[in-house]
Amino acid sequence: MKMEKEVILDKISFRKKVEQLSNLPTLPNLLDKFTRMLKDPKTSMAAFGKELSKDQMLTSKILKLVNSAFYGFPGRISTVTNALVLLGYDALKGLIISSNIFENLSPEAYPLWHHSVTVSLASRAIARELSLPDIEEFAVAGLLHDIGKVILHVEASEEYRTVINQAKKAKQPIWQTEGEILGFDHANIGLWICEEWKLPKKLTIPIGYHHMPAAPKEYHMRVAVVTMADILVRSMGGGAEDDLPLETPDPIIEKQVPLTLKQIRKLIEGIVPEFESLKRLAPKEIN
Amino acid sequence: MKENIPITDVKPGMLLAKAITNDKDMTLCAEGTPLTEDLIDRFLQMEIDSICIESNKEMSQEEYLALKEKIEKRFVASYNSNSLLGKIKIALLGHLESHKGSS
Amino acid sequence: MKQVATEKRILCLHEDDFAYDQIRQILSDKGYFVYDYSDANAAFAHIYNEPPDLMVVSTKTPGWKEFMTRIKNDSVYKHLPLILLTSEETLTSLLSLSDLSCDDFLLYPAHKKEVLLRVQLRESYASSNLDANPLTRLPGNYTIMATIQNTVQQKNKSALCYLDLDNFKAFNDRYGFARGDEAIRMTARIITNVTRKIHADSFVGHVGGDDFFFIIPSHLTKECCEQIIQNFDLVIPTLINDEDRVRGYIESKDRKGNVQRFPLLSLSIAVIDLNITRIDHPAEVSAKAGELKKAVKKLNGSNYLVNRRRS
Repeated sequence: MKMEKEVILDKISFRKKVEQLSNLPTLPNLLDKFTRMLKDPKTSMAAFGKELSKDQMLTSKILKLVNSAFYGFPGRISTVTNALVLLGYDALKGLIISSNIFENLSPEAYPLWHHSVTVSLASRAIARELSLPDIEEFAVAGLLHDIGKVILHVEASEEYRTVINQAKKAKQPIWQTEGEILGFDHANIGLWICEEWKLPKKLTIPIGYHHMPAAPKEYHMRVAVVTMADILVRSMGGGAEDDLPLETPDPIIEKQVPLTLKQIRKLIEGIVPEFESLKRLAPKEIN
Repeated sequence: MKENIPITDVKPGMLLAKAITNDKDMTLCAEGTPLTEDLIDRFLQMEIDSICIESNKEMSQEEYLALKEKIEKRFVASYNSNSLLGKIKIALLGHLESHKGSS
Repeated sequence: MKQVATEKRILCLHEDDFAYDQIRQILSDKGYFVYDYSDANAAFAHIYNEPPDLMVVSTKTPGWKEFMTRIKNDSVYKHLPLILLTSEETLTSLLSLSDLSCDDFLLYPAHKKEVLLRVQLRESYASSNLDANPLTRLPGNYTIMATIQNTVQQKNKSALCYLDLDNFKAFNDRYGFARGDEAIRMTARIITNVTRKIHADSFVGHVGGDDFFFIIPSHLTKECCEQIIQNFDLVIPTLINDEDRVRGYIESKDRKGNVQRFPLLSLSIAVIDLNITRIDHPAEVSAKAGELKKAVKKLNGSNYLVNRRRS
């Protein structure tokens, strides 16, 4: 059979591009807040940590730096709190000062940010509901789970626009459309960058497999929590793209995260206020 | 209903629905506290962006129906009420129901 | 394809010109990976995203001075070797090179051979010489002794703090020396970050092995030691395997080869507050520290102990 599929992004060369990526842009309003916090000598590291839990770009850069060979803890550090203790104030300041902002902000940038932060909140809430240890690690994995989409928006904005439009037309989940058109999806990109940046496996695997939760050999629970959080947030209308329909989740999710109706209801009640207030943090013209 | 609102929209008399804590998770202002000018000023000084208040805003019938339709649209896959998606949908509709006007 | 990781990476901040092109050529020919920047901010961003092995900064670049100041003010990055590329006129107008925290300089137009030799020389300095500990890049014994001597003689109201890890041998035996090195590096980072945040001019040294030394103003002792302990106890569990963390102890062989249980890694700090005990000679310091160390080591978990006034 003759294949007439047009290749719009070459997998091998795009992967190479991703692996050479050294800097990710931050959203202007978040960077403003950090810059203001730096100017106030009374700002505590804990306050920075709290604010960082809302910024996937700076969080990923901090984890990249602390897990780099330069500091000597490769694949070791998976939470912002621990990273800040080891990097110290100087490095944090340097990272913030040297951050550049998103130019040519795409219309999806804020919805994607809102989605990432709420999935982070939901991952933390699910982990707490199941009494799992180290819940901050779940929150970080949730925050960074769509880092691949950030990279697509930054490095291939035109091509990605085509993909998003196609997904809306076909009314199917974005990652399926990515797979069909590009031959890889945003979770693959997440996996590439996490491996290249030597982030710990307990983060890399949930980020890389949140749409294929049965595929990895280990960390099934962590993947299932992030996937579940993603589904929950999308079901509430918090998807990164327009309201795309939900796919039937892999049965492994229910097995790993056996939530009752009552627990799901409780999780929703807990997430809703934050979900609504985060919408207000985005600049008005985009909302 | 609990609602997070920007600190600039907070008015005296509103009830705090979630405790305000400091970096070390110590409670600075407990849940249920009625807010005063004075307290709101102090939150502003602490650079708190938003707080969670007890709101008595009720959803109109139109709003309710619009939201319900949106939820229905998201769940297109077939499933039974015992499946994960089924449970999520029931929970969401239940949540929506509880915030409908109780008239 | 070449492996970038094993190549030495040089970051260059410069104005585009012919003289620089030549230097770049020489370095790339010798297998160095050169990153070019003409914008000081972009160069600064690169350093935090991908720390280089060496930096070359041209004084013809706008913003080069601010760039140098920022680097100098950073406790980690100030250790990166830096060569200043400058003209004779600029050089004479500078007050002192030591104020700029550069390790060496090159004059325009640079001679090929000279560029290469200077760069190689800097590299060997950075990896061997200087009293710095290779694992933590903190100053070693020689600098520590000199600093103690100074502090005692100047009768500063300071606290001399000796820090070491408890059960470090058992930890190393259980997890291997590579993870032991990680524990040492973490400890170094924690002490440096805490002391610098509390008091910018604090001194931190690495005696060797799991022994560290730092000096802080007397009145900050409590705050500093408590913060170090809190951060240490927060981060160190990332080095302990889950099963050991759950059990709360490590199994390892003692000197006679018998399997024994050891507590998880903790730390002890012996503090000699010069405000409390009068010390006239530096030699008294280590004797006093030894006594205190014995006492603080008897306590479970991470602790610090300050010398007491004799009644």
